[in-house]
Amino acid sequence: METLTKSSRSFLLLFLLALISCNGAIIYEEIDLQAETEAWIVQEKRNHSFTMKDQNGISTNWVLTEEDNYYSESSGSFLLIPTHRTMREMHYQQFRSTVLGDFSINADAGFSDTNPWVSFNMPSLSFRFDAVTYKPNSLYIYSNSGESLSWNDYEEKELPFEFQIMTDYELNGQLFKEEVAVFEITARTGFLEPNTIVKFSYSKEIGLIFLELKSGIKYLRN
Amino acid sequence: MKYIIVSFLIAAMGFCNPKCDESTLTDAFTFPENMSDFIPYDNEDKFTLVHNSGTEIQFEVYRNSTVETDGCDHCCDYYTYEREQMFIVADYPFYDIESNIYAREENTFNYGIAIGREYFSLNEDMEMVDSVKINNQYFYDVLKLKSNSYSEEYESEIDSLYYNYSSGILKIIQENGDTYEIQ
Repeated sequence: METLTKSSRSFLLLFLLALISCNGAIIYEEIDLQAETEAWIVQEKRNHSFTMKDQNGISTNWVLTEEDNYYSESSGSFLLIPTHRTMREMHYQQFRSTVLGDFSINADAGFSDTNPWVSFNMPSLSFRFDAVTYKPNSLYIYSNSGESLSWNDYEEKELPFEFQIMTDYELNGQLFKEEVAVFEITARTGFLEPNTIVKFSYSKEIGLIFLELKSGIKYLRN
Repeated sequence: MKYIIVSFLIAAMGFCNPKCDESTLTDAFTFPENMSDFIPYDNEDKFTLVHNSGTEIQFEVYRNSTVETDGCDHCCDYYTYEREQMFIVADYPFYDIESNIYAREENTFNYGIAIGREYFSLNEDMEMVDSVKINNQYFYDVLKLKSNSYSEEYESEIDSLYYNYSSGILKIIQENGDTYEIQ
């Protein structure tokens, strides 16, 4: 019995040593953004600004306040021994309106076993879609009262929203040749505050082009 | 080892002890008796600003009166001051508006209004315009305020604020030329 315990210990020790010796050979991955995914990020520098006007003629100003292109690190381990490191490229932009809050977009290179994705974040709403198949990945909306609604592509639930990627999209007499992401919440929105964004259109060419609040106020880019 | 532990415990007790036996109130700043003359709104007051497009925006005021305590870090002296806050909430997407008045030495006070990212300071030495006609009404002793905020990152969005102590916000002129006037 004692012999067996000793041999078990030796085996475990050898196994750990083998893993440690492999430490120098951690699988290292660097996943770069594909040009098609990064194309969702508009070619503007910090402090770039644009205005949107609502149906009552009131303007609101948006300023590009953050712009970052970086690699995000994630790692995995087995028995506390690191086995792989992944560096995936991201490109992030945040636009700020002193009236409507922040609107941000993040292009993410994804992992080796996933497609890249693009996510949008704004007050009370986060939405993500697959940048290759253009299928939606996830949605999360919430209100100050604490109520929320979430959806993920692995759930067999009815879509609480509509999402389309359109080309040759016409908006208010302006034609957008390149892809435009058009999103609209269609599920119950009773719990959302009046100033929550429930519909938006984002063009690859110039970025945000349309917003609609729950109150019915619509903003068009000038 | 024992000595190290004992020394550590003694040192820790020293840190835990208060640095002074009792706190001393050194000052209590209060508002002047006529402070209400400078505060244009009562709690839950409502008013309307009209955008140059004709859109009317309703505002409601929420007042909060407190006595705040302040002092320096790591010392026992402290002082108190009266504070008056006014939160002005719109029924339409609009800048956050908040006014803060703090009592200071000798019954003086600091008075400021924040509109979005812009901050407008008011003081008694400011030049007032005798009368201004806004939206076909005459208002007297009007302060024409320019923002005190400066940022290299953001362009100013508000050119000026017209304000008086009896009616409050009279007019907001944006940098893009849009105006909001009291109804």
